[in-house]
Amino acid sequence: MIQGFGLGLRTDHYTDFIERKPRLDWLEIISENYMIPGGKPLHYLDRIRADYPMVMHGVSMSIGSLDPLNFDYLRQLKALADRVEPGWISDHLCWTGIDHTNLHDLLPLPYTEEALHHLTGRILRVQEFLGRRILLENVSTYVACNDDEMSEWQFIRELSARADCELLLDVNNVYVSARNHGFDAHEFIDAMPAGRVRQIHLAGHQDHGDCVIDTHDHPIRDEVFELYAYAIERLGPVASMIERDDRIPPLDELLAELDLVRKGAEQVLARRSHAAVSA
Amino acid sequence: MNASLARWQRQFMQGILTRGLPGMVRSGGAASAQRRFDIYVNAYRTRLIDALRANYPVLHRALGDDAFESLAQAYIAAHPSSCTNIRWFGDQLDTFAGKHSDLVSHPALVDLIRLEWALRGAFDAPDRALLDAAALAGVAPTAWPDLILELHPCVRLVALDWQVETLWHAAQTEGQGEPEAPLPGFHHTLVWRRGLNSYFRSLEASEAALIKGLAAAENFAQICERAVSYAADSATELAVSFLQRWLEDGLLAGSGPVTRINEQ
Ligand SMILES: [Fe+2]
Repeated sequence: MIQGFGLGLRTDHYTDFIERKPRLDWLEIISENYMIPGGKPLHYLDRIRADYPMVMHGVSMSIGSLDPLNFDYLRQLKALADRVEPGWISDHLCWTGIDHTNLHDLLPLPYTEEALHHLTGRILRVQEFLGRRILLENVSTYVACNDDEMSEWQFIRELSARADCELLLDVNNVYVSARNHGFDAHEFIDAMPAGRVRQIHLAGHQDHGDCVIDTHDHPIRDEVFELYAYAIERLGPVASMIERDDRIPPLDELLAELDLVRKGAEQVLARRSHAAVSA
Repeated sequence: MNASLARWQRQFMQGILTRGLPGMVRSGGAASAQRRFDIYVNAYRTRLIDALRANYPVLHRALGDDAFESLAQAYIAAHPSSCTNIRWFGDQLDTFAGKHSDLVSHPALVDLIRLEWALRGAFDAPDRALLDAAALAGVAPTAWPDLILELHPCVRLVALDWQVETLWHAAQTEGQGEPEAPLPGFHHTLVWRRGLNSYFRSLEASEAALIKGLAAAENFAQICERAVSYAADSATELAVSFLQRWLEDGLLAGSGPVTRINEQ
């Protein structure tokens, strides 16, 4: 069972992981980077997998799209999972294209009964095909749909119950969307079903005042750290990691940042168990 | 509210592709809906340009930032992605650049695009065992004519009108100024990967012709026939000398010919 604190595996750090084997509970890989026939990426993947547990994180399932499910993609995903034996497989609660055009972006869904119904059937079919439950991640959004019938957190809560899937809670994305849409991030976290949240993402963003953009090119900001502490207090220990996709620093910098995350979580959990004992 | 999801996705996609603002979009915050939606409009193009830059680093260098971006933007507008994995975005850039000579500063760059795409393909082509010279030594002389040698799946033969290899070499040595324009000259270049490293080398017409025979799964007798046009009196010797080179370079896949002979 994957627990503790991890990082996203990036090519910049391949040799660090192979030569230095820094202490780390697990690594997350971007599935698509290894859904290729062969060569260097798979070579390094196998070598690093020998030393670290892994989870798989995809960006192309397009679970919310109206296009038919892409079983060719799912077969490749399953083949990669057979190779990696990941703790779990995740993707995003979004759509990435329609009419066989791929926009390669994590696009927002309308929070409607129709979308709930559509997604539930697709998640059930994917989980049946993969033979396992999947984790779905809340994405950062910048616009909303006029037809919305419920909040994002009501939507996620209801969907995870109907499809019996698990959740990847991206605390930075909650913060970004809360700022962009003017909702209370704590209300979002409060609504998360504790038993279903298996993983947490943390990342940096860019704050433009009237608009916050999820960029993954900066260290985690204080506001997101605070929200993370709140989430851990509510959800208990959840496997947590930092996502860094741009302006990637030396591995030691990320490991130091991850130490802060670990210490923060440990403090919250110590306080939490203390409160439980004295209650 | 039926079919709202379909309208949303089609409007949203059209908005991104045409830089419009879908009617169903609302901002939900202080910034205007247009400004918010532009985040998607721009992120879409930025991501695809990044993908092209990753697949065509030498072209990027040869064109410079601005010209590369103009070419990329035009390609993205003409060829929206239909691949699931962004790794394969840009597979038609050579044809596109060939048709839009205003977007490339020199016609030789179309050849550079083809060379880079082949290198990119060799980089993550399937892993297969190499054919061992020792295995061939065990083949009976009478079996040689029927022997079918199999090219490793990483091997690519690229026909080029220009000697663009110079551009590639110039990009490897940290650049001082503009690289010289490539010279014209039709030839084939062979691209492959051995272990984790990718290679290419330009071929004589004779070797290219024989490798075409391998790619067409011709047997060794047919390969030797091809050699006759280049060395009428010593065709077999020529074919054998190329075969030695192919074994040294790691161009032949392992399991094929020997098992096939054993089965007979
Ligand atoms: Fe995330």
